[in-house]
Amino acid sequence: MKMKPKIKIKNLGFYYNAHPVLKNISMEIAKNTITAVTGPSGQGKSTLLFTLNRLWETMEGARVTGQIEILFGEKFQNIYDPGFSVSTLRRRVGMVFQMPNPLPMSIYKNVVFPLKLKGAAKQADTPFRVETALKRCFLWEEVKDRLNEDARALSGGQQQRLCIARALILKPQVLMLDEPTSSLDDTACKMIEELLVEVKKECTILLVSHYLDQVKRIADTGLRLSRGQIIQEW
Amino acid sequence: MKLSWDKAFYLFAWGCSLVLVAAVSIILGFLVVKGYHTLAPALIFGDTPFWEALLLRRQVFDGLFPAMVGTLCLIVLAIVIAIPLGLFTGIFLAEYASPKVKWLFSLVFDILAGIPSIVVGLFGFSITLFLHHSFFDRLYPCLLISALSLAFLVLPYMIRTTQMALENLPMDVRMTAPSLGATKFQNIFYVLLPASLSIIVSGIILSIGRCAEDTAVIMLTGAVATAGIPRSVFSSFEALPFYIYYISSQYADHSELMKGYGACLVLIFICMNLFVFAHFLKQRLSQKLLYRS
Repeated sequence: MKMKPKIKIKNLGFYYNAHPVLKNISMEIAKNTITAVTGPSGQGKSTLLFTLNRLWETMEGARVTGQIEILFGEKFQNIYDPGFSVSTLRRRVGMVFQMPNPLPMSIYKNVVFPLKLKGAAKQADTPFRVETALKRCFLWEEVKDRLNEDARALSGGQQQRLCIARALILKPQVLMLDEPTSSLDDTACKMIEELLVEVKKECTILLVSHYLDQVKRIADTGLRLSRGQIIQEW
Repeated sequence: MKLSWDKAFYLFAWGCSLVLVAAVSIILGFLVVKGYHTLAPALIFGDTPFWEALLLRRQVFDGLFPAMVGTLCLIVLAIVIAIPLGLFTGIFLAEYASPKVKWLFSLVFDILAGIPSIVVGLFGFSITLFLHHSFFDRLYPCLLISALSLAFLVLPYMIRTTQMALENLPMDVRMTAPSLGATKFQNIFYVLLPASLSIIVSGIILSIGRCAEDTAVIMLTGAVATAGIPRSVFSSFEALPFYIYYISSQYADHSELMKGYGACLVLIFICMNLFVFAHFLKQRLSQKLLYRS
């Protein structure tokens, strides 16, 4: 059965100064699936994620060609449309980085931070949303009694789950993770894998990973990025 | 062989640090030995009862009180003028300027940093003369002109430290807030500035020191030997570094020279308090900026 696409990428190219990183990539990513991108280091896996939330625009000397459309509601939206707000895009397309990056503030305030940026941190349901996000990331039981403690005091695995909770509080429609388990031990890895399988029911997930066994365990689609081009592996 | 070079380098570096620490200790020790016996209320308030001086009921003629107040006013005014200008220019250079503009502006600020303070003082004095002759005949060298000149002198430090602090933030700190939907302004205000606050405050502390010690600028733009407490920003004023310069070059007797050493200790004490205050402010500010809900 052909699944409904969530993301359509057409002739995507990415150049860093004159150097091409991604070359003429065209593909579709199905809704509510986990798509894994593997490949050797330095092939542009993280860059591919940056093109989907336009985070590359903060880098000097970078340039994108081609088109990316994401299904928001009933309609595909060209994310590079000048009339489409980049902040709105990044709220709908969440991202988790390789190294856990909690901000130097309390656990609670870290999770609330995206709501604060949106101007929605002071709503009555905020504590409930924080609790829900932390529960989805299997972190609530571990931190519920110390929400006001510095988030940087958590273990690496807990920090990464906190960062996923922070991304999830905005209810993103797409969640991108850039090697989220590379700095974690086996137990923490397993927890995050379970969490991703759970989250894909409401979210389309794009996962960059080095670990083939991990990818095979949880991904619905496997892509390999090599010399700037995408090869579908399964 | 390699080990001995390592050891020689280590000893040389250690020796350099030691020389500096020793030099600072000798200077401080010398000032304390020479000036400690002058440290009494009379050094600051002269014959005037201190409560009357503090309440500004009676003028102090034979003490450092007016010079202390003048120095404090000068530092605060100069820093208050320089902070917003330096901070926002630094933010502009680090976050908004195109490479060409950044190169040009950085060149200008580096040149500004290299201008000797006496030249800045002369420039302030010339501007005052020009304004006096052309627009405001009641304007003379005063506290405001001195503060503006000093602000001009310390601006390059503030701009460069702010710019460097922001530019040296690691990429993951830089990208966290934008990936969560932050606008550029939100990223700067909520994440980048608080994360670089400690270096920015170090720049401010250096600037405070520079404002407190510079004599060349103020002697041309408003500091005088006897003026009393400045009544407004348009009046001339006394300042500790000028007093120290004046007394050490024109002292009439030994006790007057000793008062100069006392004034040095008072100036160092004021600077230390300002540094502690700046550190305290840094802690409170980063708490407030990063931990508020």
